[in-house]
Amino acid sequence: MEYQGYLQQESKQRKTVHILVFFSTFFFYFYMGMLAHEKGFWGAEEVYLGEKALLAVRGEPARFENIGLTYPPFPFMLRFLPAYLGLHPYAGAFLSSVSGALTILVLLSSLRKTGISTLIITPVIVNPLFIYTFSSGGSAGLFLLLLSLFTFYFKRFIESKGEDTFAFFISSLILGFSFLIRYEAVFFLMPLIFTLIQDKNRWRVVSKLLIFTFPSLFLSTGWTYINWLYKGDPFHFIHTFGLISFETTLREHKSLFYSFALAIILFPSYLVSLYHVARQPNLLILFLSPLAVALTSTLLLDNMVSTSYFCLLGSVSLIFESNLGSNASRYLLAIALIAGALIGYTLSDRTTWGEERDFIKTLIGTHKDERFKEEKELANYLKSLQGKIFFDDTYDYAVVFFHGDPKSFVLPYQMEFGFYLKAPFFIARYVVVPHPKYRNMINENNPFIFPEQDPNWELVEKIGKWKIFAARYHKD
Amino acid sequence: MAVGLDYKSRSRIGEILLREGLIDEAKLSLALELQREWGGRLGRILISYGLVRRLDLYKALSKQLNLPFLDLRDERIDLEALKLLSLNFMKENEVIPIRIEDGKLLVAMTDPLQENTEKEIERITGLPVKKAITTELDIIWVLGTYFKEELKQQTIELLAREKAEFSAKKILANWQIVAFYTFSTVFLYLLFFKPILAFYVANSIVQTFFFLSVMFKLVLSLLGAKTRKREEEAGAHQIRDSELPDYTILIPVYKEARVIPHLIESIRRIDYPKSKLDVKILFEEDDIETLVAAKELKPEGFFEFIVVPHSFPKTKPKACNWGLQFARGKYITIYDAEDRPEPDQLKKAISTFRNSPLNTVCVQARLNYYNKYENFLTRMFTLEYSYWFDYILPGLELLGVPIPLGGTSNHFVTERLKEIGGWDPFNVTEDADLGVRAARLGYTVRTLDSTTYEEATSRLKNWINQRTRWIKGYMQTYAVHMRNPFRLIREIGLKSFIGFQLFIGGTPFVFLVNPVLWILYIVWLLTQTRVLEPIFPPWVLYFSLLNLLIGNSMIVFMNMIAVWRRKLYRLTPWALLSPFYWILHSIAAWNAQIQLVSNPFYWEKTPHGISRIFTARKQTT
Repeated sequence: MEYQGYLQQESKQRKTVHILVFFSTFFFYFYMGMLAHEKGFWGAEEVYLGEKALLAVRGEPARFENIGLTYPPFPFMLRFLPAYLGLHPYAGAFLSSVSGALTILVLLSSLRKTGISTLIITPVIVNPLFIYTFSSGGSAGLFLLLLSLFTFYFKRFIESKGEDTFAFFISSLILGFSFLIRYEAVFFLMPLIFTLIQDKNRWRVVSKLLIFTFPSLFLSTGWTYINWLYKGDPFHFIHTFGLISFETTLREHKSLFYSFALAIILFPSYLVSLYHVARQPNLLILFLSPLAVALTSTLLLDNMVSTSYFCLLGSVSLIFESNLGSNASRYLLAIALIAGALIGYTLSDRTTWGEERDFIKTLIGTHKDERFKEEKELANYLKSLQGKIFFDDTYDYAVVFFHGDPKSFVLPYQMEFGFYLKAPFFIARYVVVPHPKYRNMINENNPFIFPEQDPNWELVEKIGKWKIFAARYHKD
Repeated sequence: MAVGLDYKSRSRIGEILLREGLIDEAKLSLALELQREWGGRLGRILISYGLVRRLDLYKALSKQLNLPFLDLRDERIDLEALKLLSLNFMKENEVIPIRIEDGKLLVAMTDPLQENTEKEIERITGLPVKKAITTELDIIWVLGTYFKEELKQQTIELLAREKAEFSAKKILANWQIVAFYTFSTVFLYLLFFKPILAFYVANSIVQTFFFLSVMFKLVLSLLGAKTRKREEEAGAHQIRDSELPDYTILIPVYKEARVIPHLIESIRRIDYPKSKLDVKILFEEDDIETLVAAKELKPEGFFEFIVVPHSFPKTKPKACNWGLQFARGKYITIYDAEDRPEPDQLKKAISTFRNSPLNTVCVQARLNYYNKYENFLTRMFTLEYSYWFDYILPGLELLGVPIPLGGTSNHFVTERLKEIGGWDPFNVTEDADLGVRAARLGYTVRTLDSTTYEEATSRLKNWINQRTRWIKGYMQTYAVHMRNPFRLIREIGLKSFIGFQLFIGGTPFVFLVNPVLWILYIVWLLTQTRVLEPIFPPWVLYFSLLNLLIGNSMIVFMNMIAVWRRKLYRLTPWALLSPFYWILHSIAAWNAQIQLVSNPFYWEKTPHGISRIFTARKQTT
């Protein structure tokens, strides 16, 4: 009884610690996100997701398919409620911070109960790449959370030699669900199949493969089905997704290795853990899978050359902390993590993706240029106009996001846009066109508007790269 | 039950049996050795091991105590004398007042050494007692013959009379009937005047409930997957045999002559002191064939054959209630004729009871099938049962939501089972009802990590009939316990109330609704009709798609994982065929819906012994 009482008390204490860690981490990341916004930083993905969510819930008509069906749907869906409530500017940072706080909890839970847990977890929380991932409002935070959770449970499953059904159940579900966050999850799934097929029992292999891949396959199939349903092309999401060409890969591969080298410098802890895990072949593939995700996605996907992916290396090095042989190794891990965090700040301007660089520099006060400054100016100006605005948001989604009311626009997600593309004045009072050097459907179909040679349109304002025209003969 | 004497005089009964030539030295030594190990009475051990006939032992006992032995079937029993003691007193103390002789009341009893009983009889009747010995089977026979009607009443009407609010004798309360007609009228009115609104509202409600039901099952599965082996179950073998109490096993059978040898064999395999087993096989009065088959096998003395008198409703719970009246065990459980429980199940149950809160009324063991690979139905049934008993029920237990008991292998504390009113003979899933009723009366049900293997129905017609009964029973249970929803919330709490809605109400609901959703979807897919658009505005459409695709696939996935824990890897791919299996569920659900109105108490008996396993065994024999 005494022992049970002790266990209960310890469990209560752990709960209290976890609640404290969750809220302090959440507020830390959320504050960082808000601070970055205040200093003029907005993540491109955050803005993109927010704008599509606005179209889905406040568009005309409000429909699920307004999210574009190119990128996985879940990050959009999470923003539906904030967008509906008009809180979309805060949604990104809020959701990222929740993901961040939960990830830190997962990492904390996977650490052995030793005196150096705080020493190990703190440098991770304050690592600039973690701050970027969990404060900048993109979907990377959620993806990192799911993959960390997956690694945590799948490791448990492997270590239990298949006995931990819950771990298997939940890890398969999480991996399947991560397909709804980012397609790169496939790079995580594929190497792990090799782990599963190493079994002498043929039926056991079949069973494992089915259970492991069913949620992923089903959710991917569901996604192709939805693409077929709304777009008439089941692989619409692939056809519109930015896959990098082989030529570009060759050109960029130098930066890939540069990124990789940088990631190892930022997360030397990965090497510390690798040294120990390398001696446990059953776990090695799982340990190396994040590397596969980072490398393959950097190789194949043009918009993902981001070292934030390498945060996963930091995550797994903590999840495998319990496999470190001795306390000395744990101290080494802590030192490596502290070093990584310090290096992160000093090397912030070397990262290959500009947005990360801008974010970190914004926070430490060395970045001067406000992101989306012109888009905000244009949005503010458009708010003062009465009547519909014909606008192509394919690349200029930030304008609609900062404007906040998609009903003021005629946009490509609406049937009317295509119908009146060659004569927008029939439906809109204003049209906004960027300089022809930027890709824009309105320019392509009305080449005389921007040079002010179209008699139907009268220039009313110039902001940045855009010109705003009013229709001469439009009647509301 | 009190066969034999206490330890001090044990050798004497042995001596008498030896002297009479009813037993040899070797048998006596064996019995004495078992007595040292198990404790309890020598006579009981001798009978339970079949070392001596019950009748011979009691006759020996009568000689030892110098009391007359009465064979009650040959005895003249005075009806006036019978009225001197109450039925319950006679049942509980195993005594029968025979007649008044020389100013003394002649009382036949199984344990004449119980002085308290003697004094109590004298106090009640005001007559001095003249004791005689008889067997417990004679006592049951007299009670069953002379008090047939009273016992039948107690068996059938007890719950309806004493706890009418829990009885399914009347399924719907008046207000439920009024509410049903009101809703139907409003719906029909809307359907006629505003059909789109009617469909829209109905569709929205259906979709929301369907979604919540599936999500609830997902939560239960996750919780169920988290359950680990309990320490108390692992410690079952540390309990010494001498500490084990008497255990009653009820086995209702009907037209199952073919399965009887299997049944006897399965019970023999149970790892429990046989002298402490009180196995009652309950035969229906009109089922002579099964009774004869059982008698021909001449099983050991711990098997008792009890004939349940014919009456309506003719249901399994009624037979169980009959058996419960004569149960001697501190604990009681039910097995079906074809069941094969894991040998240590009773010990595990006792260990769990001892380590559970005092209000624990029942522990439910897991059920699974031994003919799993026989055909499509048995494979799917195994998937379903593995999911149900290995994940869902432990999940409900962890969540603290009432557990609908399975048909067999539920172990009760006998006294508490009687307190809550036994089984409801009018409910065709009396087990599910009992779990909810126990929760309402403040009792807890726990699950037990021990499996009883059964025979999965391998024929389609039988499967549909069995499932029809189960779903009808869930509908009955839902209606009975929803007679006063506010009271139900007060009794079981809001969380359990929601669980009850989603689980007991949700299960038949999902089966009823699933085919409608699929048909609508297939019609739309094939025709791309726009007719359905008004009843599927965007959010309902997304929701429907989510339900249909994610909801159904989630259940397929949960079925896949279900067999993993049992290492039945060959069954995993079969989970992909679950949607076809659900079609059968829906057929049964609609059948149940019709039967609930037309024939609510009809018990669709599932025939057993038709599996190839039995056929093969018969050929071998």
